[in-house]
Amino acid sequence: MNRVLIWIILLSTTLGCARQFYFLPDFEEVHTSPYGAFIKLKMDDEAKITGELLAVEKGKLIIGSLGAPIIQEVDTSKVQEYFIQFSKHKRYGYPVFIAFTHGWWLVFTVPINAILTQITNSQERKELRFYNYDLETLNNYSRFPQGIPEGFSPENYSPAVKPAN
Amino acid sequence: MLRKNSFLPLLFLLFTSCVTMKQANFKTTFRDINAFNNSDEGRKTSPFLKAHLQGGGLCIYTDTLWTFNEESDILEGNAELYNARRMMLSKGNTEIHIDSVVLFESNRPLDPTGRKSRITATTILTSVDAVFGVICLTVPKACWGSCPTFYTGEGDYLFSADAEGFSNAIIPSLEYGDIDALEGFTPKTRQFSIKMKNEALETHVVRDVQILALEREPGMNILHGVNDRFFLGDPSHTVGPFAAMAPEGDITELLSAHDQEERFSMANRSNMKTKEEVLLSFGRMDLSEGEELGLILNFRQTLMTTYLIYSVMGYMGNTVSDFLAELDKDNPVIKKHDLIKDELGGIEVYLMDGEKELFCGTFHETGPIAYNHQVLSLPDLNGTKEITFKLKMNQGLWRIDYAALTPLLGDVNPVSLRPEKVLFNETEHHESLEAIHDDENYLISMPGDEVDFYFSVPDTETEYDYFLYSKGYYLEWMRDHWLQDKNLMKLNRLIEKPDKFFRKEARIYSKYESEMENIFWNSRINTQSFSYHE
Repeated sequence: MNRVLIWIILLSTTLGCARQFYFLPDFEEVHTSPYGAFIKLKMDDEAKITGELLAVEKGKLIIGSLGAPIIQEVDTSKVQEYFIQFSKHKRYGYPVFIAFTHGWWLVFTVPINAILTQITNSQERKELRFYNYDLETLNNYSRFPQGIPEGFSPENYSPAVKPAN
Repeated sequence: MLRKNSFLPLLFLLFTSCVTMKQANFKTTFRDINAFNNSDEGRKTSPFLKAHLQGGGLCIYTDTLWTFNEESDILEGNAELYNARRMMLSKGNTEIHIDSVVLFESNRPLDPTGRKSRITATTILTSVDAVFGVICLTVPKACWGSCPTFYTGEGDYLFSADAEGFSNAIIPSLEYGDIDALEGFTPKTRQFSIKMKNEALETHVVRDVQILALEREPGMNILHGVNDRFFLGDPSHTVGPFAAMAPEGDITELLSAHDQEERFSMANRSNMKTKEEVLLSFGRMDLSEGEELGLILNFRQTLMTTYLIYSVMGYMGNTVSDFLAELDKDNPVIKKHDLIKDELGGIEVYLMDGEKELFCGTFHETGPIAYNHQVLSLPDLNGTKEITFKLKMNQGLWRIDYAALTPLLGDVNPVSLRPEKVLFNETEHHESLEAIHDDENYLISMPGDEVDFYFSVPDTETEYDYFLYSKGYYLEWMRDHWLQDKNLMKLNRLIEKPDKFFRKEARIYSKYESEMENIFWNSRINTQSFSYHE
């Protein structure tokens, strides 16, 4: 029973990580996406907020939840750190079974492969993320760079969906 | 052998090629479309336009061919029109008046330089891994260790090993005797020696080493039967099939010569455990009294068994020694240790008699490298005009190089030659000689040891074919770093629900098969020197 629970938790954690970028455009399509970027915030009280950046308005970030029609207003002065990602990142890897063919040498080859793969993935993420711009200047990466349009309310907000191919 | 230092250039390449691009500034916003439209530089560097509309709508021009009519203040082009909820309202040629636009946004595609470098680096990394894997599969002892290797000549090295003893005996209870042909071996003097080396991190426990000498007439040969019988063969009366049909079509040419041009198939993508059939048709062969008919096959395995064995070792992870200990105790749960062999089976031979199928026997030897040249003695078919055999085997498991029908001129009994002298690391060692002669005792060999066994040919005037018989087992030396990727769930599935395991593993294996088989068999490394006889 415990083992099943652990699997469920591991699986949901893994899938959860992968799912939060689902609405972002592919690398080649980033210039035609109708959505804002993905944003992840760590607040002063250690709370974490993630979602689509909808707009930046007078010291506030307007963030749309993913998967639910909820809009959050976040005071920029209470943000401890953040990052923004504007495109899906590619996950680089190599078929793990190949390592099994390396015999005893896998003691060396698996860590080397793991490190190089980690570096490559890290480079990819760095290219598609940033975290050091002034929060007040992030409106270019929001769904509504002009600000929240008049008449727009949580009732008529729809969370971002996966782009159609 | 590839060393870990060989990865350093790759590391360097990866570091140098992974350029982190400044991609974040791919968009700018502005309110005056006229200024942007008339700026060559603007449209050149950032040509994709989005128009943010009153009420939150958005018009995305999907190509760079949009136009702006300054007289009518109309933007026109191929576009997607969205509302504030980002539901697409229309797609295609779209006109909007700039009065409805509250903000323009120009975009440029992301620079693919960094990504291309990463893809290149990953491709190189995967290729190096695959090549390393091929080297390990080609020279398994170098990567996995193995069993005692036997050499007949001076200055021998791994690539020229003449035989390997008891490859599958990895624990005491799996001890068995193993016969390997010493092809082309002719002693130059009455007394000759065979060298046994321990070239891996293993303890070799050897109960017996003998040379089997089989007398033959000049021009004849000795054939090794599937049940370790030996037959006198006549190469001049051996004939190939006049027709050979497989699911993919006519394979007569492939099986007609001992030329390493093999017939093989890819595994079934939805179930690794799927049978396939090959039909072999031979013309009439008249036999003299006392002769038997034999079906010769020259065959070896694909990488399927290798893949499964490595996978199972991986699934055991750091509990591999526990499993092997349980196996040795004949634990009823794990005692199905030959499960892979039992499930996938060998090459079953059936004689076709109209619609009836008469089972004749099975060819089976483990290993993807060395060819097994064996013969199966058949029931009396003298006078039959045409003989058709059906070979039933697991799809994607076997590579058949050659098939032939031959008269077997009779059984040949080997003369067993026992060692007369033993040199242990170049020093005569009576205890080792006694141990090899004593059926209750073992000769123990540790990594780096070399043992020379001396024999004498029975008669210098007679022609013989020679085979090596070795019996024993070996113990792998376990490392602290034993595999971490254990998956006991999969291991349990293989043991308890093999049918389900082979279905689920099929998709994963098909990826491995298409990549590794190509690389492995297109490599030009000589694979003829190795033996995987059981």
